[in-house]
Amino acid sequence: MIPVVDAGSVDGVTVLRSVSVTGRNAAALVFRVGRFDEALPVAGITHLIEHLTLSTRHKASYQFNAEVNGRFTAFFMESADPADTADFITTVCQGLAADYRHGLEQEKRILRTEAASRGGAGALGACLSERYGALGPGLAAYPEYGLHRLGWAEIEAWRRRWFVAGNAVLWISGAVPGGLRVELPPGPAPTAAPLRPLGLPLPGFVLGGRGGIGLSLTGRRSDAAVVALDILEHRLTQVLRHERGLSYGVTGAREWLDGDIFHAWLAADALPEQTSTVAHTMLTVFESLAGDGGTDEEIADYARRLSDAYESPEGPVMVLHRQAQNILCARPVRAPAEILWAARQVGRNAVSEAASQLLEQMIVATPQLVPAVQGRLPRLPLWSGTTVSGTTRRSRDFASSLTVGAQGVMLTPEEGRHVTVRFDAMAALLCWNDQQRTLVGADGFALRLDPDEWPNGDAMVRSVEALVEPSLMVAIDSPGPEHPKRNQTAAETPPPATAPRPAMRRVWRRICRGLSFTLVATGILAMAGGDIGDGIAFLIIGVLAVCWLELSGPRRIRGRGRG
Amino acid sequence: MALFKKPRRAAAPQASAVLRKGPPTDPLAGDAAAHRFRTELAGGRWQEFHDFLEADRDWDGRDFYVSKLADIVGRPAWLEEWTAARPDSPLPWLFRGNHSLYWAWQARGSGRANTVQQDSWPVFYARLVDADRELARAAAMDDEDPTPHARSIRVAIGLDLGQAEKQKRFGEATRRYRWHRDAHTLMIQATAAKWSGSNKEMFDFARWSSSEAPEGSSVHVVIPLAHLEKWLNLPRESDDGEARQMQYFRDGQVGDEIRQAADRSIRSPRYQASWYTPGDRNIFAMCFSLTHDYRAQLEQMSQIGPLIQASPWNYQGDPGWAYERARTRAVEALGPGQGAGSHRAP
Repeated sequence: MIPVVDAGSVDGVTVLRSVSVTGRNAAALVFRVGRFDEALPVAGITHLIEHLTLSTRHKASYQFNAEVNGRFTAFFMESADPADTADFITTVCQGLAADYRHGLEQEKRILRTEAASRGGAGALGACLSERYGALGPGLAAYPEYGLHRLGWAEIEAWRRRWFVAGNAVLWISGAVPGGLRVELPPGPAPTAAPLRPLGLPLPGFVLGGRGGIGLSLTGRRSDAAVVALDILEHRLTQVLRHERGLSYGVTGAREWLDGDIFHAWLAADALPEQTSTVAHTMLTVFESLAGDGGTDEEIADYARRLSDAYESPEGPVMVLHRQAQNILCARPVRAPAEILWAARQVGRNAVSEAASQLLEQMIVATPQLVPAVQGRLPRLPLWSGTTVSGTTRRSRDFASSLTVGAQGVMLTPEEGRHVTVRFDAMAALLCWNDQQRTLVGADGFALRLDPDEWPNGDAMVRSVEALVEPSLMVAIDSPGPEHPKRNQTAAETPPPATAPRPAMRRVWRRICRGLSFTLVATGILAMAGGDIGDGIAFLIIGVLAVCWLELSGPRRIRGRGRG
Repeated sequence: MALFKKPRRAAAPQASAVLRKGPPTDPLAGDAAAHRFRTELAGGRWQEFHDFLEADRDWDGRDFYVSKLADIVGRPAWLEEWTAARPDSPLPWLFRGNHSLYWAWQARGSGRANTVQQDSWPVFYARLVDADRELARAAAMDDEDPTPHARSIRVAIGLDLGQAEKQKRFGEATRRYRWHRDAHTLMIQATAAKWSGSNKEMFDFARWSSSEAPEGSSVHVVIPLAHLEKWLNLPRESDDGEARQMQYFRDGQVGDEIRQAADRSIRSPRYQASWYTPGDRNIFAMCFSLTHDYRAQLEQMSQIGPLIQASPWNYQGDPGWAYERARTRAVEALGPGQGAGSHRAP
């Protein structure tokens, strides 16, 4: 049976309800706030609030959990007893109003530990960062830097802004318990910042991920786009797994970037030696779908699968959650029967058009350069398109130069290639405990400042800090990222890590340099004293040692692509 | 300072031949129809060629005409006209796909990867992707034709699509025509070490193909081709590679294997002459020259006549000059009266 949803209201909060097929009760309190609403210096604040809210409720007789994704935060539970639903919602509402300033540091530590074990966002995050830099959806590529900085005042302000009755929807699959209260602070839904794509020329490709191929696709929400993505995923699975045995599987994930725009991620795993074939096959299949628009049978299959999903035991929960999200994004809410009818009306031309539009906006992520991708798409820019003027310093160790001016900072690793971060378009300034600094631009370009590398480096760093808005600074109690290895290009530099830097190597190098100059000086003194033979010998050995040190030193390129 | 000088390497066979010219080669293997169509196509007149291809479903012949005549420098404007004028025919797409292949290699050049200009790679890959799309389109329009599948092996080589993909494309071609000569010879390149394969894979393929191929088939040419490929690659395999290269064809087993392949193809009474016969004879002749089997070499040269093929003689410099040098050496080795007359028609 296709679920039917009733809508009502409790304590000013919209409540959606549907009959439970399983006889068990499920519920979720959903808020329209997530990672994409944050700013880089406070990244992780919603996640922290989600944790704090449930931090006092360690045990219950029912299952419960919570999650934060790009645009939504949901607290959900499941139980056989309807009374548990009321208990859980009360717990969440009280948790959202409670004072956690005393347990705050502990919870931040727990979350930093969780993040360390979880790893980065990988190629998916890299693609979102290519599209949006270090803002909005691009934040998926960054660590939760806010966990190093956030104080209680900022957390409370964020809660007051987003976790309010006007920005919440409660859905219940099963019975509505007697005495249900949803006691949230009153307030309207805040206006979300509009998406600000960087405007890169697309399609394009990036290097990212540890293996396999990822396709990052964005488009306007439409029935045709959903059908196109479904057919594409099924075709890829059929070809890559069942026919060719090239991939274990094809995974698809979709997320709303705002009320109208979605992001879809299609990824296929591959052995290193099969990466090229998998990429070529994926793109060929995609191009073919854009050309033929699928078959009538494929479109009908989609509608059949959707109908099956609605009628499955999970159907009501799926429908309720989507309707809650639509309400929170102020989008029209459609009944499942209406959606099914619309899916059946989608024609091949519409699918073809939708697939073509997705192709035009595509970013392909590959772990290494793949000829079949290079032959189709350009590589996305590795260097900033802007420059700044100011005082330029030469690196003590390398061929790069650094320009610091009133507009921003610019690293020039080689002629014509710049990494620029402008002060008026900055996302964050990360201050590591070893005096290193990382400037992250809103466009995702980042550069690291190491005072040891530049003449008068400490003063230079202080002058940069003076020009950065304090709200963008994040003090991190760990050393800055390790220097890139020799010959590692800027674009291949990994994202900031917290590994210790090789200070010993630098000290040892300085000692060697000092000894070499001592040899040269000794040679000159010996010759001046009349011992020409020994003097020349010392001089030659010293000069050779200096030359060797200069030529064998690591040639770091400090700039990097997107952070 | 002499201590620090690197010993001079023995001069490569082709080094002294760079500027020397021999008799001309004929890429169209003396085929009168091919010569006529080349002139027609140069004038933008594709219609007669289209009708000719459409009327003939000999797959080796189609492969020969399409692959040889598509070797045109630059993109001819009449290709668009042809595809527009014959929207329901796979032939313009087949020809176009083949041209894209040549065009891709024109951007890349035929040298090793380290000789290719960095900005040439994207152009090379883009044209190969176009070739793949065009050949796939031709294949979809005529399910019986093995030609687009066979030619797409070369796309897979250029795009580095891996051995499984190359084998798949070879399988598609030979499922339609088991003894497709070009599909087999392309697989020698496809499995070679320089294209992400190995000597073992290449010889496994060559020996399997030759053992399966019927007597008189042109496909046995894969054996000498595999030996030539290994011989060419030896200097890159090890420090003593050049010395091993000098000795490679003196190995009796190598010579025996080439002779046996020749006995089952060009020297078999069942050998059926085709568009590729001059190519087969040139390949065997060069291998006989390298094994110092001069009598067998001159026997083939007498049948080659003026139809000298650039490949494989171009491995030794100007192909005509290399051919003539090999012939002279064989005649001198065998003594007067033993030489084959050159430039006689087969």
